[in-house]
Amino acid sequence: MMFRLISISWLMCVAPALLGQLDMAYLRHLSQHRLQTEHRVYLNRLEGKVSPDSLQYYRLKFALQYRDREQFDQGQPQYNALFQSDSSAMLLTALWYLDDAYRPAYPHLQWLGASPYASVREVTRVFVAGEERQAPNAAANWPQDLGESWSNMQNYQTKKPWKAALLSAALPGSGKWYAGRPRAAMVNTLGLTLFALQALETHRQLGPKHPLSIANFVVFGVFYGGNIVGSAKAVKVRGTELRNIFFKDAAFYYRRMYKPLLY
Amino acid sequence: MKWCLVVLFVVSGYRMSAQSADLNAHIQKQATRGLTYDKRPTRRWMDGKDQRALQWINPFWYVSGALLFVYQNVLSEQIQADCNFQLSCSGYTKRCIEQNGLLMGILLGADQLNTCQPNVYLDYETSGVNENGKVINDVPSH
Repeated sequence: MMFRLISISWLMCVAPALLGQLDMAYLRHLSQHRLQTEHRVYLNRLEGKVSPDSLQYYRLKFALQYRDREQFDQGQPQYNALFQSDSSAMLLTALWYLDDAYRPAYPHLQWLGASPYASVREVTRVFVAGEERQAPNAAANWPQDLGESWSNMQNYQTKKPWKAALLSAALPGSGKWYAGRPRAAMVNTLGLTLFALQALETHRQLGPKHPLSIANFVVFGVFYGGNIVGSAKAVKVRGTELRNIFFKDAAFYYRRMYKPLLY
Repeated sequence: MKWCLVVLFVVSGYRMSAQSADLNAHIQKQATRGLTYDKRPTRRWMDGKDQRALQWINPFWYVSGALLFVYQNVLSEQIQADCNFQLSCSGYTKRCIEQNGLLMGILLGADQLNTCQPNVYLDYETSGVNENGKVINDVPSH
């Protein structure tokens, strides 16, 4: 039974390719039902049967669907004429950059920014604007939640890690509050106050040269320094969080607006 | 002898494990794939084979590694420690020391230890919390 199933599935994968032509209905079926292995086998079997550009185009779409970054980069979509003329695939690529934390450098976006399709150019502009923190032209048409994500990200720019570090040095925990982590701030303030009181009490009762006093001051110092470093880190991480939220919201919005289909 | 120990302590701060440097770089690359604040290049002269000779004679490498190993494999199970972060406090400290040096690693680990409390996930966005309710944390690189 198993052998028969395997044979049938193998024939289903291979038979259209053996005929030397591209079965688009079958390819669509593989993509829509997310039959990844069969899809890969079918594309491999097409080698030599169809033109290399065409095969590369379908491999790029395969990588795009399953988010295989290495295969997609190796396929060099910027040089594939078929891929360049596919507006849906181009738009899905731009959306992939937005919502999958796949953030290439700007030179890699030139081929997307120069696309003849307005939707692709718009999404690319949003991506670049998000990276550079400059308001894109499309911001006026955004819905409220996307606008809020954008303004949250923009407003957080004024917060700097060194300011958080200075605040934490002045009052432990305040840097975390400044970074937007109020619960962590309260816990840090409480914990460090207890450490400081413990160190002062041992200093008062046992003297400064007692090992316990020294140990308590060392522990307090480590946590105090850690709070300064952690506050600076918290500002960076929070900024990245807000940027990721904006990109995900933007990808969701544009995906709903343009409804791109791979096949 | 005293100064030798001081020098070794300072040197140990740069990198504890040269053997796992490649693996750490890979893990860090995967963890911080979407983050852009990591712009500084790795310190090349501290990586690779040159560090391995120092590692063999460095007592702090053994002591700190052994302490964290004993805690993670013996103490943590005994006291039923359950960290509120995805990468536990000891594991995070260990990786921070490996990637950022002894001083910065201990400071970052102390900060997470001080912040580790059951309601900490409320400070983070939903995307920053995993399915078990633990905060997804990553090791910053300097």
